[in-house]
Amino acid sequence: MYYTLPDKEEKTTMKLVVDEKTNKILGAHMVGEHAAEIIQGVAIALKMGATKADFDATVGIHPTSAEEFVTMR
Amino acid sequence: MSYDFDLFIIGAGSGGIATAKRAAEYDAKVGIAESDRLGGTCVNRGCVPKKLMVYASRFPELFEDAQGYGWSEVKSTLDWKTMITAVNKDVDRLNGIYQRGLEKFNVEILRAHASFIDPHTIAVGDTKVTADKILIAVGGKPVKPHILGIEHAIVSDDVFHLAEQPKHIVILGGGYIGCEFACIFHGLGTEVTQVIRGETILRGFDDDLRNEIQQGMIQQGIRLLNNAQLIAIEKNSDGVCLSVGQGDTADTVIADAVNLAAIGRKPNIQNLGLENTGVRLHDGAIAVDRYSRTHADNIYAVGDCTNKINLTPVAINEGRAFADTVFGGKPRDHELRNYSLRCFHHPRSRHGWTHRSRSQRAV
Repeated sequence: MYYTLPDKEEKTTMKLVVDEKTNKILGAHMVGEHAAEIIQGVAIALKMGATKADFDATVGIHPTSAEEFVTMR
Repeated sequence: MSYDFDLFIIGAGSGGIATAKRAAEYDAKVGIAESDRLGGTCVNRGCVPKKLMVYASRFPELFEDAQGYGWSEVKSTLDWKTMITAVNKDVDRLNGIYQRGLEKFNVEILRAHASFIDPHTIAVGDTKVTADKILIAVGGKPVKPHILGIEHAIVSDDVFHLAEQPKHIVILGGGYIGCEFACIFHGLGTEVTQVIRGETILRGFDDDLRNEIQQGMIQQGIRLLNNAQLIAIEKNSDGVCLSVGQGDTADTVIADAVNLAAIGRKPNIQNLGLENTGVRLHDGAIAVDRYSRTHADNIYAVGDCTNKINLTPVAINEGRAFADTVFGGKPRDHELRNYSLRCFHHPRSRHGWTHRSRSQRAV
């Protein structure tokens, strides 16, 4: 969003690695602005054994990049 | 038998300092030896000055972006000396905080090199101290590869003391230290050539992200020489000339004065008298179990000198777990199955990025 007004081609990538059997999140990755700040909170969820359903049931903070972690299909 | 200290720690870096404070909270009598500045790699030559330089390197892009939001053009130039002085001043401030923190917990600080005489006795400078338990937290140091003329290269530690901004820097190595410095220098306006042995930067991270970050860095203007081998470094009137081999061809890269060898790090365990202790090594690092125990009953080790996962928060957690277990009556190991890594790039978009280990194998 930040880059739309400066009209820059900037890509942000976010990725969740999910165990198909248990639905548990095994890994979370991000390349982009504020990634280090965002991933610390996600790390707690992983440490607690969060599942994809837990992520999906979390309300996003809008408009942010971080909310993409809870709106992935 | 009574000892001078319940716990003596060799090395006042992140791991050593955190452990000293935690053990002292449990009323242990603690001493700590440090021959360099307090704070270790993280504070003096690593995470902290690095991140401050990351911040410094981002401004040109912010000035540019501002115009998209209606701000007039910003013309600004970097005064290297002002920046590097400010960075080092903050490091001084942190050194003071560490010193006062240790003093508050009545930890005795001995400013000298320490080495073992026997498992309970340590020579610290000209004096000898004895301790019931001893923690080795001596950290790591950069590796210099065996290349002709390597003495003309500086290591990552030296970057924070460069008197002048390099006009063209060659970064050797594609790990996260190399990539971070490539992006920092590029952001600060230095021409950057990065020489890596493999095809892609950031070995060990997920391939899709590695490729994306590499493309971003190239697109931003960092010259990347991959599948390349550094053959020799020579200093002449043009500056520093590097002979770089790529497959069958050889290329010469001329930088103005400086190279940076960001090749890797290794445990800093020479001249420690480990041969007098029963501590054993594994692959050049101190061998420890998940309770940070070495093969000598009363000696423990944490952090980069054990070469497990060389990250500040890991060393801190290992040290606190050790203190909780041995002095606090709260046994716990430090669990490293899940941990976070971040790399402060900023290819154009100042990519910070994080990766959860093991996950790529689970895809």
